[in-house]
Amino acid sequence: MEVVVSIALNAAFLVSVVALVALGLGVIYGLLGVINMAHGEFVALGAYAAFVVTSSGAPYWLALIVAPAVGMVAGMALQAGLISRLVQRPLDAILVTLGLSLVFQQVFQAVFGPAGLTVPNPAPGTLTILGATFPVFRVVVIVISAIVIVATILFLAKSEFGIVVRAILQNRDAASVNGVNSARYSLLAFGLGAAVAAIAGALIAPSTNVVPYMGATYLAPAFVAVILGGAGRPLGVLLGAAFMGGLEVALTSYIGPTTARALVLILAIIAIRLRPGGLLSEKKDRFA
Amino acid sequence: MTGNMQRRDFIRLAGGLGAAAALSPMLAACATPAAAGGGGSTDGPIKLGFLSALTGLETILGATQYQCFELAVNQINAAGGIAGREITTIKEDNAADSKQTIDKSNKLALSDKVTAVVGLITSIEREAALTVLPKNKVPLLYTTYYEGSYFDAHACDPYYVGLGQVPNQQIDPLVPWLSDNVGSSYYIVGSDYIWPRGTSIRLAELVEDSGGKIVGEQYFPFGTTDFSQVIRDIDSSGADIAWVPLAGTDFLTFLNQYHQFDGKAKLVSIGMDDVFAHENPAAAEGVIASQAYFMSLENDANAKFLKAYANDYGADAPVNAIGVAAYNAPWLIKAAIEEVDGSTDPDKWMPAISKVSLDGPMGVVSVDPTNQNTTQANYIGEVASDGSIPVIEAVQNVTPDVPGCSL
Repeated sequence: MEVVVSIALNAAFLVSVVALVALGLGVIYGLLGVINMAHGEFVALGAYAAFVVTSSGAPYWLALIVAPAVGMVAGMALQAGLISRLVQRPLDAILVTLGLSLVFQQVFQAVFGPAGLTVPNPAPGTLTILGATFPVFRVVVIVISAIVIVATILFLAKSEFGIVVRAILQNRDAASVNGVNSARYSLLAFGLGAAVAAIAGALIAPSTNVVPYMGATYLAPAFVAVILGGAGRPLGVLLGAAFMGGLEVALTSYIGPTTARALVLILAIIAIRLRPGGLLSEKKDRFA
Repeated sequence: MTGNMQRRDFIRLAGGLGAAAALSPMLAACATPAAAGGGGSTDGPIKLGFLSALTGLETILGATQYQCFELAVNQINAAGGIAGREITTIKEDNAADSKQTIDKSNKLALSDKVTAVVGLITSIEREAALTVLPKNKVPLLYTTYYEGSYFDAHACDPYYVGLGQVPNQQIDPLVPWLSDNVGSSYYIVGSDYIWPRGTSIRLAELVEDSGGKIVGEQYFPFGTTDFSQVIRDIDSSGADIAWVPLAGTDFLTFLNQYHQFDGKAKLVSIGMDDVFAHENPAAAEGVIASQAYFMSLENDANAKFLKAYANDYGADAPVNAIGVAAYNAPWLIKAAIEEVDGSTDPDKWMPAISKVSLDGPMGVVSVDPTNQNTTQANYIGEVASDGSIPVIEAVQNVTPDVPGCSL
């Protein structure tokens, strides 16, 4: 029992972090058609925001407001200044965002130095949950992630913003003809995606080291989660994240970390082969 | 089939280009006769190369290592240089990566023509640099721990000096101490490369001889960000000791998460030192360390060294054994070159390096003529709540033992 509970808890932590990153990535890809290679750097941006907040003496919790705010502003600035010029040019967008990720990493390194920075644990201590020992702060991360994920999904599904965005997604030209300012919505969508990634960064920071290249670590599983889930399907992305994070945690204890990571990716390839449109795709979407 | 052919052609082409690029500095060197004797010239400044991980996984160690090296060079120059010649330095970053180590080693050897190279952190970097420097007759002074020929490491070369500890110096004294004071069952969590795997072979031998056992062993790829599952495995294994040879940032991540989970087994690491302890004292408190140097050592040379270091790099800047070895390196080079009347010909001064000794911050060190690793002390300490590491037990003058290496 204790084994199952602790695997479930560790998986829940990893999955919630991957899901947050993947959700932002999926929103940007689904809505803008841009594969944002610099998405991981928004995670790092959020983590650095948490470092700045805590090292200035303010409580860590403030970072959960500051990080998404900074992420949103940076994301919107990027969209307005650069990405908006690359609409319908997905390959150029990949190159530009890849370049941007390197620029971001070097800027982090120039400003904060190449060494890892520590954000103190704001909620020390452990809980015993059904026999398994688990850090209090990780429970906090899981709960906050769940709230952000549910809020984001509801926002996309129910709000006017979400409805308009889906209209743009279906037919950009028709939406424009109907008076939708698609540039404005793209701006908000990019900002939203970046803000969610930055929250993930702020949530991760106290459990790891804040380093300039940390974004890449989270980008890869998030990418696979988006592909697995089907771009533009927030629930699918969530399922993709559960697949990636859950399997890795469950397998690590039994077959070792290196083999576990390889096996998870092999299983992901098989899943994508069987369901190219995503885990939640309708039958008619499938190509295989 | 066609695809395969094309790929093979591409690899051949890429290989050819690479070889041409690697050769070009050598060709240039042949074209200028004056440059040919660079390493062995008799006047002008003496050039030392510093190559290490100044960015990436091992940044935390590389930065300190460089500053210690720089401090020694400044002190030597202020006191008249090596045999009256000034030292100039060329600093290169390899990001703890083997390919970059090879590229930068080629640059330092062939185009900068340095007299020696000092630095490197991981064994991966060391093994990579050894494919380049000795064949160009450029001595390498490696300042980090060496797994001592376990797991097929082969740092045994007349142009190589190991200033860090080898397993018989760092691990052999530690295991009996742990048996007496902590326990005898071990769970190993290491980074997945040659140093953790090699040193763990020696650990397993020692543990078996002392009647203890290794109850679990896991190795993680560089850049691992989550250790929660293995922390649970350590707990449920009931091990007395979590033995964690993890590299750089990954070690910090592990310490942080082990602290978060309030792991029960006693943490022991041959990588723990003042630099790591200083980075996150709350998480490092109580960890058992085994090193050739701690800042807490009480001797005149160390007091003087720490004062000079604090003066140049800040009062709260920590130093470790890797750094002090990098501080010792230029002093040893100076002593060896002056021993052979100022000749910078490596075939003359390298044999002399095992004839000199140094009384520095870590006590007296000397290079062993058999394997060119260093005879030095070992200290066992436990990290205190302020991140300092008071010494619990000390052994002086331990001769390095590298099985199979006889120069």
